[in-house]
Amino acid sequence: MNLELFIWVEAICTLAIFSFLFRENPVYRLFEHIFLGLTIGFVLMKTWLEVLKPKWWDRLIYCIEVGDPHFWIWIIAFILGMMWYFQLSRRWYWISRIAIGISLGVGAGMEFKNQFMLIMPQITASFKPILVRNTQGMLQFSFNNFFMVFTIVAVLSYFFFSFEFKYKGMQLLPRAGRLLLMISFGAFFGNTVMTRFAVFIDRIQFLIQQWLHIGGG
Amino acid sequence: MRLLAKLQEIPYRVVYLLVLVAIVLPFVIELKLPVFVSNETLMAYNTIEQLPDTQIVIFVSSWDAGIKGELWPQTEALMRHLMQRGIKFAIMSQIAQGASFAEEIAERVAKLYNKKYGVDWCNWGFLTGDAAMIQALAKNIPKTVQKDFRGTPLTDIPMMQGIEDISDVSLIIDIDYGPRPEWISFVHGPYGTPIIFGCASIVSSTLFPYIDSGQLAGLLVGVRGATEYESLLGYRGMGHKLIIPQSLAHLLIVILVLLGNIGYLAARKLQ
Repeated sequence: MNLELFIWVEAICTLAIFSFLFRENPVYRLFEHIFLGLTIGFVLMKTWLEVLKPKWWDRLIYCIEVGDPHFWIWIIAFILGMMWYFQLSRRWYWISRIAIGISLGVGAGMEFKNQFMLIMPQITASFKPILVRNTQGMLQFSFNNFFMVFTIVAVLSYFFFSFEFKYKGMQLLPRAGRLLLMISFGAFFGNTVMTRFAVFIDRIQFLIQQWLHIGGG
Repeated sequence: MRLLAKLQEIPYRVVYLLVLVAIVLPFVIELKLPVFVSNETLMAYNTIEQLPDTQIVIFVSSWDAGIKGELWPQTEALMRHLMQRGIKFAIMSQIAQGASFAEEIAERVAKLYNKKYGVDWCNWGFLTGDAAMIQALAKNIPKTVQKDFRGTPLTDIPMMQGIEDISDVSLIIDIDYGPRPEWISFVHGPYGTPIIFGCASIVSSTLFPYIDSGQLAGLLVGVRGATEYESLLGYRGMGHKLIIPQSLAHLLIVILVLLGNIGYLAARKLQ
């Protein structure tokens, strides 16, 4: 297909979706449904062609053709997979629970290992010397380390609910933790704005430079 | 004071219009802003600079059209660097659409550096299974992947000859809206393979601890990370095109937040 035609189709789709910024309208709804249909179709096709066919169907057929006695492993995989669909039936719902149970067991085991390998190095990395010696920029490193350790203690104290901080001096620590949390939420929000803008700017760049041919392309 | 209090009530359509002007302007009038390279981007660059050319790199590209603006420039910059250095890489994706986007970029970049499919790079396509797949991949690459994106058995791909497991991989790059920490847990943890993440800005705050703890060898944050990487490689690509409108839009947002707060304070004084 001609590249210019591609660009026109892309531009019309983009504008139809952006029309929602003005108000909800039938053109937006139409394109929303088109996108939804396309995505579902695409994912289904990809899942069959790149996952189920080469990794399950072809192997099952191969095992049957060469007379491999272990072909039943692939049939069990099929049965377990199909069990999920019993969620659609009120009467046979309990069958899907077997598949859910297996998935939960495997998932929990993997997640335990995953979290252990992820968090442990971070815990050890958080034990930092507050006074850094024999390094260039000693003050800067010392301040950074002190600030990090203080932040960890302050934020943890904010989530400490076992006893009340009665003394005024002690109350300062969870308050500082709350303040530091607010700053981190601000950073999260700033990053959210950044991502949303990047996505929008990419489309505007496409419309202006590739579709309308304005400015340097 | 009443006029200041009205600053709280700027109609949202006026805000949309102002944002549009701030974004469109740099595409019409050429503006240039300096780019300062952050530590996490420089770490990623240095890691690739020091890679041996005897092993391959696994390039996980798990993003789709929804986040193209941030992750396309990152993918392109990293692929350029790998091809420039003559390091072979295999693309794979953990989402259905990811491999197609990465394939398109790799083909474009390969033309620039005269690289051939199957010899210098290949595409394993869409691999599901998350943690289980990652662990299987680390232990046996040909058995886990089997065929590439185009249906060719892995054993018939020249660059995959002799590639058996994770010991034949020098680096994992994961470009994703929110890269999967499973790569850290199941590959970097047990095998020590360095990992570089490229992410959307929105999730970057959650990934910085991995830099501090040494679990990541580099991190590219949104368009900013891509632009910094482009400037390290000495070219002005998609990142440079997008970062200037983004900077102007951010400036506008800061001004609008300040105006909104002035309006709030003025309205409080009036009460």
